[in-house]
Amino acid sequence: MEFGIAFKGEMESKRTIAIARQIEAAGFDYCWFFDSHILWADPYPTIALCMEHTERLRFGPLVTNPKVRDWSVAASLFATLSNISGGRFDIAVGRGDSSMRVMGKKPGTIAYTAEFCEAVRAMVSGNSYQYDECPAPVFMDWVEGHELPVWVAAYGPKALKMAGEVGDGLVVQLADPGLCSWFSEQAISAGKAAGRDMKDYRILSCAPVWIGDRDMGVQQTKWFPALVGNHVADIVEKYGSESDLVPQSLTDYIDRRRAGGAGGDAYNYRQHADKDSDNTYYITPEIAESFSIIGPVEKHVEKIKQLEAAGVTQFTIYLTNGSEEQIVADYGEHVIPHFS
Amino acid sequence: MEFGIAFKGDLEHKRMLAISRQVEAGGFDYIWFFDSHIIWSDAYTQIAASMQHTDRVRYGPLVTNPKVRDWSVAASVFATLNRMSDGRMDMAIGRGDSSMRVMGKKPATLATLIESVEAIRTMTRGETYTYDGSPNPVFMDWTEGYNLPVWIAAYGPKALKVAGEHGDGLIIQLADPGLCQWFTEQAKAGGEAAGRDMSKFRVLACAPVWIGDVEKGVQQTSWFPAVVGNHVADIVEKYGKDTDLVPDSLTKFIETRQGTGADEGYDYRKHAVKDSDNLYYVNNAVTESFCIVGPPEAHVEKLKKLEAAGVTQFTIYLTQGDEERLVAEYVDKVIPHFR
Repeated sequence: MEFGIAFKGEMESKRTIAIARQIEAAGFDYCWFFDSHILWADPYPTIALCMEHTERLRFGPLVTNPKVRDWSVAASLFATLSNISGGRFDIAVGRGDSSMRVMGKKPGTIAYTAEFCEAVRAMVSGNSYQYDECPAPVFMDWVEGHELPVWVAAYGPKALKMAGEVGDGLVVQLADPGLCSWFSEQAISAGKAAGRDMKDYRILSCAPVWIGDRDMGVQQTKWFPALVGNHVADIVEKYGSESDLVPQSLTDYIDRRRAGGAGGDAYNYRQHADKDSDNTYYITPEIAESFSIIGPVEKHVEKIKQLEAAGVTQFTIYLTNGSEEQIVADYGEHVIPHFS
Repeated sequence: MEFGIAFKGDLEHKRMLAISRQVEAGGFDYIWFFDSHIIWSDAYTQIAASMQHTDRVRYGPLVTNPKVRDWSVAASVFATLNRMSDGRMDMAIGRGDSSMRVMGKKPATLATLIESVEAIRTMTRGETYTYDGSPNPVFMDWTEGYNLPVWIAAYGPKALKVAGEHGDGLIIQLADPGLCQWFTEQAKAGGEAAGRDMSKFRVLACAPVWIGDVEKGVQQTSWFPAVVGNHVADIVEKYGKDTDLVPDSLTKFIETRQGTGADEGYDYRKHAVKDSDNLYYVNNAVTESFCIVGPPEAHVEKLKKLEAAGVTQFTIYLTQGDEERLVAEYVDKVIPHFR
């Protein structure tokens, strides 16, 4: 089992550096950054900064999308970060959520997202690539040819299929073992159907955590099911709530959510991932407990073991709801040692 | 007089970091990075890395353009770099040259350039801005409100006027004192005509340098007039060569250049490459006039002339070999004459 943390990008720089050093020393494997350039600071300069203070840790956006930057600009960024870190850079990609919606734009299509993965992989590895928005083929002769692992974030059946066909891994943005297993199986079976060897396929589950009292934990993390709810609302709108393409446990909780789809009146993206926002109006303690990890350290070990059994290969903590250094220290001391 | 260096983005990472430290310790004021994402590595992540090794020196792209990144994405990058360096970011911007042309795209119009400057400045400062590229107004509540000094790169009369009207400074990509004065006067006149106080307006001349033998220096730096020649070809195409809007010395320089405009007669894949075929029409006299080559005394003398011509910052394009030595010689033998 690998462990990671994800920064939202709201933290003061020197504290970000200190925590990056702390997680490397504590045995974590990955340091991810939310990529939503209007809501939070740009992740890529911050990644470059943290790379200067670490030696082993891998970095990446969690998640970027195909519409926010021209693909050659994105590939140049990714290749530069690979170069300056000796290849310690991955990307996680989704169709585009907050960074697009806050501008009043829509996410990319699944086909467009798949082509983006292929395009940036090709350009970062130093191959020539031509795409619609660029009249001339793009070739960057200065790349050092580091491999760029690409993780794809998905909830809906078609996106999961694409993640299995195109990705090196799948990003599941919740920590419910049953749902993780349900998502993983779809991605893996799609990959197999496409003739890929899926034995090294990776599954990343990410969620906020709280070590300690349950009520306090629910309070600190309920922003998260509200955020996941946008994606669920999106797929329910697309596939219907009675469809067996979306599990019941996922559709039930958004019945109380106002309005369909991700945008509109039901959610204020300006308060995205904000722990005290009004967006959490429809979240129950049970849902918060199921999507996040809350409780004493033993509870964390137990749930991550369940996630591991469900096929998850990396658990990443959304480190944005208080007591950040304490959570990292507790994981380093009491949780990570239980996993090889 | 301020001093800066500009990295092309082709140096090995640890060496770039070491030179960053050398530049700051030596009393330079600015470290700039070429911003042409396909030809060279990304400028902004390198700026972030370099900032981790310096405390005082200021940074910026030299130059970015309005078309390569959505303006909110650009503003987010500038605001982030400001936040992590306590406000040590500037922006130099032009209409777009190599990063656009290598993609088969055209530079932006001056109107787009003007709006992009306004947009990026406003959003970086933490104020709301609405523009065509974003259906919703953009507001970044985390920026910490730093001011972003904006330098505008220009050669042609209209662009120079825009630089004077909208810039905090002008970028002149050559180091000929006569031409620098000619460009500076136009930009300042543009600003004064618009009612601005131009007493603090800054003028940056940038060019490669070589300390040592003149012949060797010419050989090391002759890639540079070829780079400048593209811009000159562009303005000659626009204004004609028999006009008093473009100085004779510039139009004459490109008479033997092949093709019309910037896209013809030049391979952008070999942009700013020392030994490329792009240099075919560059003669030694032009190289000596656009760059600074010779013993340290020649550098001091020419920089004094640039200063008299209104230049407030000289930035070395640090990309033609002996980089650490050139920095050291400037620190020991050149910069002290201006302090």
